[in-house]
Amino acid sequence: MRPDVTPLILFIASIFTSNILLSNFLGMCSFISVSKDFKSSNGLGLAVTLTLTITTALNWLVYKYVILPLKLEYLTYIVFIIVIAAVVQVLEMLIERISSSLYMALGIFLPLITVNCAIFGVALFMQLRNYDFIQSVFFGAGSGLGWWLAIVTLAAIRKKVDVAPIPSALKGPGITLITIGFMAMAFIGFSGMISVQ
Amino acid sequence: MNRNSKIYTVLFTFIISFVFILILSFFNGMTIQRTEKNKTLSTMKAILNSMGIEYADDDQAYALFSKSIKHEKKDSLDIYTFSGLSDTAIAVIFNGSGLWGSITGSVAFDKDISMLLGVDFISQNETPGLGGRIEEKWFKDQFKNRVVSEKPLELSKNKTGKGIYDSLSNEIDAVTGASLTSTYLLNIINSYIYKAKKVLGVSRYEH
Amino acid sequence: MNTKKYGKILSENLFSNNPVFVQILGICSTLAVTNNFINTLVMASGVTLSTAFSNFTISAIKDLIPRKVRMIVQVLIISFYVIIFDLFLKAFVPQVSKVLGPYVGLIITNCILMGRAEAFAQANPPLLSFWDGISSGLGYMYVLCTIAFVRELLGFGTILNIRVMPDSFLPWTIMVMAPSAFFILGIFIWIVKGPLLQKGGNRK
Repeated sequence: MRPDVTPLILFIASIFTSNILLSNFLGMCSFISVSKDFKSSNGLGLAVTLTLTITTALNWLVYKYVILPLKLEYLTYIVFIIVIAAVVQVLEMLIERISSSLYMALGIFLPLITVNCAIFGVALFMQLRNYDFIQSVFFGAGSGLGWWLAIVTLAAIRKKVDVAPIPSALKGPGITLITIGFMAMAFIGFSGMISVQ
Repeated sequence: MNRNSKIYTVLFTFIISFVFILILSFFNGMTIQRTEKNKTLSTMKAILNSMGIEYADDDQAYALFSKSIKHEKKDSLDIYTFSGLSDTAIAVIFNGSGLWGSITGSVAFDKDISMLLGVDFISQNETPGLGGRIEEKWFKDQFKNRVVSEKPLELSKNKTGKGIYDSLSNEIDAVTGASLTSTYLLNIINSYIYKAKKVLGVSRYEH
Repeated sequence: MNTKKYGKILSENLFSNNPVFVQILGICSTLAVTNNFINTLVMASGVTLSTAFSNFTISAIKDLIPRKVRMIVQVLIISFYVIIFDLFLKAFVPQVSKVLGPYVGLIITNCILMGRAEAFAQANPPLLSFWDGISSGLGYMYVLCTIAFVRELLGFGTILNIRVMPDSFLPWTIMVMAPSAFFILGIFIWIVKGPLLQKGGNRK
């Protein structure tokens, strides 16, 4: 029962109206910690987008051609995570080879993408909603871009917030969360943008 | 053996994966029958609920369904008929696109498809706490005992979020904050009302 | 067993090193399920149990795990316990399982579990690690339940699905939607950090 959503609408919706971070709350941990620095945020956003697109597509293939035929549905979580871990490992090696400065900047965050709830969550949603291959790819790519957009926006805002006078108990995570709350509200405004059917 | 050697690493990973997956298949085997029965039962209960038939517990629902409900397929519609002592109810399984994924459920009518008896859901993937609230009683009750008319069901402009329970009205109160899901759901239900009328009912009204 | 040690771990995980408002971990699920109290309770129990058992297992075999596959083995063990929890939910409370949906699976990627495994289980004996898991889970639970209480009360007018607010109360829809979770958590941190900063000051 493949839902009737066109891939393009799915793509745009997952960036704006149902942003993986601001509407679905996935990928928060690295979102909050990395957004302190604009450059790393950019790099991480790129890495997450790539990982999301590749893993969502791969997980779809694995689910359809391995898990379903062998009736291993109860192992879905483990298999998805292993696929994600493998992709991140390969990506890490590629980034190290192509741009060692980016590799240095990302540091520990790269292996931590493996347990980034956004990546696993997108794979789960994709499987739950019965998307076909093309929809899955667009969903993965859109979610990644949405995550990237959110983190660089937050990083930019935090630069300003950090020099503003804030009560000490609110500094850091407190004000960051409230800022994210406002961003989430702003993104809700996008939902008038698309009429999906 | 050195625990960091390549051989040990590979061996360890294999053994530990094997052990855990073995235990998991055990647990899976233990619970799968129950889980499957839950799924079948939830479909049965959705159909009974949409018809407005009451049951005391799961066992009674199962018994009632097996005894009094007949299933047939007609023109790609899944039809369930209940023939009681004094009345007949016909339920049709609906399936369509919600905001995120498919919404599946049962919509029930009286035998002429002149009255909508009710609606219940089998599965949906809408946003929990928002679109997902279409499963709440106040929302579903709006579809109880509505006269099927020429005008399709539509969302009410005065949004109270409390539900409209007027049998002659064609307006439904949307879930607050989930107007998209509510719209898509009404589209699905309207299209199945039309299909049911065409295939089963007296087509007094042309679309 | 040293009860003082257990007590210290408990108080740290509940307050001074609370996974949610001090370590800022496990935020994802914190925000996603907290618009309903019952869902939050089930979710938090899942996190507590999974953290406790995976901590225990990881601590028990920590000397056997090769360095290179440490993270992946930890994830495997965590997934194992979460899957069991999920299987039991699907079999015994299907209504709750349906509502929580993918968020149960997402416990696997909940940073709290991985965080405790790395920070505690790798360096401590099994029983203590189990206790650390339980207490971290409890620390997580009460924060979530507080947020859920506020969000469900103001967003739906109900607590535990029972209507509590008077009929004339117009629910604050924003409480049901995403942004409110961020605001409430931010405010919670604000309220708690004041005394925490004064008390702990230079410790970290």
